[in-house]
Amino acid sequence: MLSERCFPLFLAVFLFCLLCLPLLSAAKSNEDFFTVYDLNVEGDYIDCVIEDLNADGLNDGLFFHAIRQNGSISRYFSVFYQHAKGFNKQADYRFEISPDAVVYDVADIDSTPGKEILFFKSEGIFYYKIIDGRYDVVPVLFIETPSIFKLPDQTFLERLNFARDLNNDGVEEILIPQFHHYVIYSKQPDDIQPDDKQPDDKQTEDKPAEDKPAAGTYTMTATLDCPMQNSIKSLHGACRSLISTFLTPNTIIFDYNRDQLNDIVTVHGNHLKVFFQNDGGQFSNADSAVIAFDFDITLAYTSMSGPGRLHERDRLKDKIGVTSLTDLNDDGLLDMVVEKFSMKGGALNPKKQFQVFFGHEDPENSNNGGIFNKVPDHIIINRGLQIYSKIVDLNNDGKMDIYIPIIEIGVFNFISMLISGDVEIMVLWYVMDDSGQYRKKPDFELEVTFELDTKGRRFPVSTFGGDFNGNGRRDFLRSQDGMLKVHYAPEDGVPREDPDVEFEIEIPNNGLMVKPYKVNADAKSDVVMIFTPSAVTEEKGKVQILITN
Amino acid sequence: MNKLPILVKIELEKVFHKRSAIGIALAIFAIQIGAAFFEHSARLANDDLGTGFQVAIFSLKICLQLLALIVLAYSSMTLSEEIASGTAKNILVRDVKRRNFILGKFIALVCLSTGLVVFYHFISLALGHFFGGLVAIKEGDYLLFSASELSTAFFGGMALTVIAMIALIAFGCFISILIKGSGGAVATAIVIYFFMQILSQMNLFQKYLFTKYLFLPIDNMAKLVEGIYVDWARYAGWTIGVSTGSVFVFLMLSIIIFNKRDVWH
Repeated sequence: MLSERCFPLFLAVFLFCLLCLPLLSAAKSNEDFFTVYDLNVEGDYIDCVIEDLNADGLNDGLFFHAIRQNGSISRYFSVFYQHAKGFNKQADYRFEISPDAVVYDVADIDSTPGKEILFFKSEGIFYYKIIDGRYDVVPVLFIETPSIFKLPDQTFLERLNFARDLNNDGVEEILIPQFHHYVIYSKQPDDIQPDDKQPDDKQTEDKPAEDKPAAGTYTMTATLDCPMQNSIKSLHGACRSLISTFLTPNTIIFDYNRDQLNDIVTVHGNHLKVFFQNDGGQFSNADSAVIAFDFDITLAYTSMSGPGRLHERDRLKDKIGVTSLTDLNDDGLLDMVVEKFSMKGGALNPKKQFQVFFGHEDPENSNNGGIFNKVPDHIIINRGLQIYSKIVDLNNDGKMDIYIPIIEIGVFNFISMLISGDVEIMVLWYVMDDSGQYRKKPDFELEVTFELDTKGRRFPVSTFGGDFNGNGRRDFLRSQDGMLKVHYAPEDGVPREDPDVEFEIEIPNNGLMVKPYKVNADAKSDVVMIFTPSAVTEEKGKVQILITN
Repeated sequence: MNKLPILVKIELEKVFHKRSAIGIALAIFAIQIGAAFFEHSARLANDDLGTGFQVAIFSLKICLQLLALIVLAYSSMTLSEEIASGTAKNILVRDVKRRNFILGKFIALVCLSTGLVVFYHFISLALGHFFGGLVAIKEGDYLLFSASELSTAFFGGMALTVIAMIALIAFGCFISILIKGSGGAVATAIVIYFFMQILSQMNLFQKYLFTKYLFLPIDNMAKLVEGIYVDWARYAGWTIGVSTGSVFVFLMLSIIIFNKRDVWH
């Protein structure tokens, strides 16, 4: 009798548990995970810098934006200072940027508190200085020098990291790309004359006549032989024109010869050039090395700067090029990942090779750092549409792992994608083992679903840049179904398909504009989302800062 | 007395006496050689000779796709033809169990298809040896897969293809029992086969359909000879599992339906 009475109750409890099961297994949907700040930064082509601009110990937001009014475009910087309660909705102030500004950077080069906004004009480098807690709209001449930056793009202002601390003294050096050289300006004590620090003969030839330290103590300390590449394209027809593109070599700051001093590595057509830093913190042509290759290392992708920020490549030809120069196996030597891209198997079935070259110590000259074998140390080959392969340390062992997302497209898969609006992406993980090698077989395969916009206007968020739980490890941030999803870096090194956090929020169509930053003072990463309007989207320009709680 | 071995033997003899069957097998063989020549010339034109394994796999893939259609057509017409023509009656009156009648045909077709699959695999190896040699796959001087690794994968793939082909035969026999008349049975089998091939490209169904595994071994081998790593162990488990399950289901259904059918009137 008892069992008969209990049966309906038992059945009800069982069904309730069954219904709750999906909820229990689902990721934590946490409305309080981020505190959202809406910032009014309307306009086109918003670009942001999150740094402590006013030296109050809190990171602030500097936003470049271009506003179209009555057929003309004006370029502005909007400044949002962070205060104890976060950010105001309206900018603390904004100011129009000099129409001649070509590229900009943010660095502390002046003796006044806070950081300056540096920019190139055809005459040289100028900067906006903080006076009474806000940037003065009148630019100050910093260094009068020739450079490759002559004419501005009136619709955009690119940030170029030309102010870098090369010798770890806490003071940024200035790298100036000229057509044939890289010129370095360093901050020197006032009693040292520029001529005393000439590292080689070439400097005097290129030194401008009015080479005076405009901001007091910056002087030219090196002129490195580092020519730009030029690419000329001719367009025919009624609007016939000629496009001349100057390509600055990618510049990597890395201790190439393991002497505890950062060196400058520049990437050229078929070689790397390394300028070694001497004990005095100087660079010179005499103390440099060329690492030559049998193939062209810059052809895989040609990045186009500017509003579109497109990646251009010739899809009909095989391309090969370096996509990563970093220390993969934590041996202190620079390693290289070369991608070889082929569409011989058809446009929907491209083939991509990842060739890993580990840096080996040069037995003949150990002071010159690493050299590379002619034969790759490892090759990973994959087919399918491959997007944004990345190199990250998945298991926090100090060694870099390779992450390759792949979309395998068959005819019926493609139809299914168009109907459902979802695309299944297979993510392959190649984890470096203890011996510093990758296996032929991917260590993990994860299937992740992304939303597909059939009109090609949407690009999902997918980034490894942030640490959202403050444990010192990089987490994976992605978007799906109108939610930001965070996958914490797994403790056991095994990636999981289920996210740890789901946060419902409007996400920009261009997922590349969702980036993690350290905005507030805690150890957790935060997120900045930039909603950029374009001709094909209805989004209005705005910015959201998501502070991780 | 178990008459199954006798039935199998008779069925095999029937096939060997049919000139059309041997003619089709030889036609596929000729197409295989033609495909190997075509692939080799294309690679010569592109200055990308590769290795003989690549030629072997290309020719074998075409050959297996044709063979699958032929095996399906043959297996789907064999029972329906005999039932329609009255041959089935003559056999069944001789104290042959209906189950054995189906199994005899099924086993004979399995032996035949296994023989052909193995034969075409060895022919493709011979063609590969002739066009470039069965050597390791390299990228420059970097060894991607050694010749022994490729050979192991090749023979592993052959075994998996044999298993998947048995499921196709069981499917053909099932259609043969289901549809009266050999023409209708063949047409139905081919239409359903292509429909299943479409479904087996869709993520929702593909894992559970034997048609996905029919060409998976050769597709995996094609990836391997391009230097792409393939997890053989994972695919082997699914191929064996789904194919065995399909054979069991189709045969059981065939026997149940045939047992209930009135073949005397």
